Amino acid sequence: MMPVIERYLFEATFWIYALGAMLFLLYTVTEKKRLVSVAIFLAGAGLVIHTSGLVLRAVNIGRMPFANMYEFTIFFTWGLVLLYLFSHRKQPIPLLGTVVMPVAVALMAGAGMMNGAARPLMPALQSHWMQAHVATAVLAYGAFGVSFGVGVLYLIRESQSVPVATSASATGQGQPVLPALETLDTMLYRTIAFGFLFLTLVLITGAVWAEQVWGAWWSWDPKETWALITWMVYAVFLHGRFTRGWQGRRTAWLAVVGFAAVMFTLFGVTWLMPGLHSYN
Amino acid sequence: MLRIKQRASGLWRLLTSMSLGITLLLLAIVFAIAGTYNPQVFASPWFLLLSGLLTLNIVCTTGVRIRRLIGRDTTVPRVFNSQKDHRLISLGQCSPERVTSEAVGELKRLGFAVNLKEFEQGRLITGKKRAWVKFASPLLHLAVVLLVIGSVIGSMWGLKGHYQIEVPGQADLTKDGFPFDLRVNEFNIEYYEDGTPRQYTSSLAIIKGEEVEDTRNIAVNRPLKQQGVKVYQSTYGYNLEGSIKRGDETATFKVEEGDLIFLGGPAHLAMEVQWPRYLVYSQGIPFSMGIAELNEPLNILNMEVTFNERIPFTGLEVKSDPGLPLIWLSFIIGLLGLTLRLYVKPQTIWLLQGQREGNIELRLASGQRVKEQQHAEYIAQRLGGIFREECSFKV
Repeated sequence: MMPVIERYLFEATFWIYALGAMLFLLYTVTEKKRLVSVAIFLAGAGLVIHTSGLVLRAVNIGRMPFANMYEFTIFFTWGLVLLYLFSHRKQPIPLLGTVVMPVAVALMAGAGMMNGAARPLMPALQSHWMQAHVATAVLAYGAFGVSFGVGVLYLIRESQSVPVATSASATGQGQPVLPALETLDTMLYRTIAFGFLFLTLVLITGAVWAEQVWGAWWSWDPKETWALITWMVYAVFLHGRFTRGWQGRRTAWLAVVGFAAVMFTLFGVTWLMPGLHSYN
Repeated sequence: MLRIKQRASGLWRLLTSMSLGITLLLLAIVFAIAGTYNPQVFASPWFLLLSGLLTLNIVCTTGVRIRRLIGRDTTVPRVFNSQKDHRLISLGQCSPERVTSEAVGELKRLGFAVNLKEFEQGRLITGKKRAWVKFASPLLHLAVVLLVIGSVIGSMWGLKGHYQIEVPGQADLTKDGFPFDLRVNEFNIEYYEDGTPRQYTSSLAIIKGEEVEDTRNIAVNRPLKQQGVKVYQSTYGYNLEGSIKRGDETATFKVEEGDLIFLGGPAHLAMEVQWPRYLVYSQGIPFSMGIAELNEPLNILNMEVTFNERIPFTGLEVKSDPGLPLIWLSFIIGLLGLTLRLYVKPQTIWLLQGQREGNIELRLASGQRVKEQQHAEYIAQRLGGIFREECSFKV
């Protein structure tokens, strides 16, 4: 019975996120502010249902739900929406949802196509380090997902030669649809700094765990290597910004490239390259 | 001579430059991507050279950074060189000592640690908050260097070995340089209800000389730690012992289950066993199959194959890694350095107190951060307010 409820919860999550994403897209066309409030509310409601689905699955299988691609994809989407809502509280950018929520919807849809059967935890995965490894990965990748959205908005905003159209015509409030480039730039830094700290934790917890299971804290496994590549891309971002004063278009592109590396680490490596992390 | 000196300083500038650092990082990304397709890349001299250069760059830049941080300032900060980076407060005819003490007092009230220094241009009053955080970034980079040193030590002086030990049985680790031998008393597999393995456990005796020093169980994720040596549960399997009889000739064999047993003959037969199923290939093409039983001869063409024993073995990974403590240390200080670098901000405010035509002039500058500028603004107002009554104040 429980697996059925759990599946309904994830399906409901998918549809609510999808509706939220649609409203965000509608907002880009109509610029009606009310749509954003409703879409944010839907994202929040979706997150609550998403959370209860994850909790139910954890109870159902008797462990934290992040041992295979299906579970991790759902958990990763959860992290993405959570961090998006968090960033919205800190610095509301309505259009950010237009980029981030469709990604969340695509991820949920992708998870729906994966094998969701819960299997018991193989011995190598029975470790607290593994739980820390995945939990930090969810936060890191979620933050990078948000930074990707901010990067995309930056590039759009920058490509508009004229100051961005205001929503005055639609709502009469006279607020620009996209915030100033400086605001986007600061936000880009903040989300990436947060993600970088957690990605470092992902690498460290993974190394400690690998040392405990296999006796080698680093073995150039493709997944490991790709996580390191991602880390280095963001390290270039931070060094460029701190010491060379890189800002603007270049860093926005780095945020986009960084997230592409994240997605490749997550999905590309699992499906294209054999290694310790392709557990199936 | 001069030429060599010039070259050397040019090389030094290159080594300590961030452009080189970023270029090397980008190159490392390219190499790592190539390495995921061909792991040989990570053992290639080019990759080692790149890692070495990157490490050298980190060491040099960090060294320069630290020297700059602990070195004494011999000139006033650069912000006082250009008009737009600082503001000028003209205080009229006040006592210089009074101005200094008020400025120091205001800075201290805001929680700054204050330092006074005399320069040609005047007296420099520096207020610093959390100045130690400036060491966070060097600390983080030293962690990376420590990681490299740790892994070099591990690869040079570490020991590593894989042992397949029949149960019960013994492995002579001492002949490979480890401080003790191991005897395996038992090997167990626990299963979940659905039949998938839950845990693999080997029960080990640590043997020194002839004596059993200790007995311990190890499992996946629960290695044995003893005298700087770690023993991991790595694999398991079975060895098959048996004989092949052809005519009057009998040959014995012992192979790992899953490996091919060559039977030979005109048909080039080979047998693969996944107990109790067996498959016979002729020149690589499946030829026949069946179920084997211990001590029951199987007739294959003109041959008779008998399995006498199926002995379980446990695969243990044994290693000692003297670099490991450095690796753990680098993780800890790296995390500490990164967190401080990203989330704790140092603050600095400078006041340069000078005199011009009998009037006291205060130059005020701060870092770029909002908080620093707010504090600088506040100090400007406070000092202005205090001296307005006593001196002819103008900003």
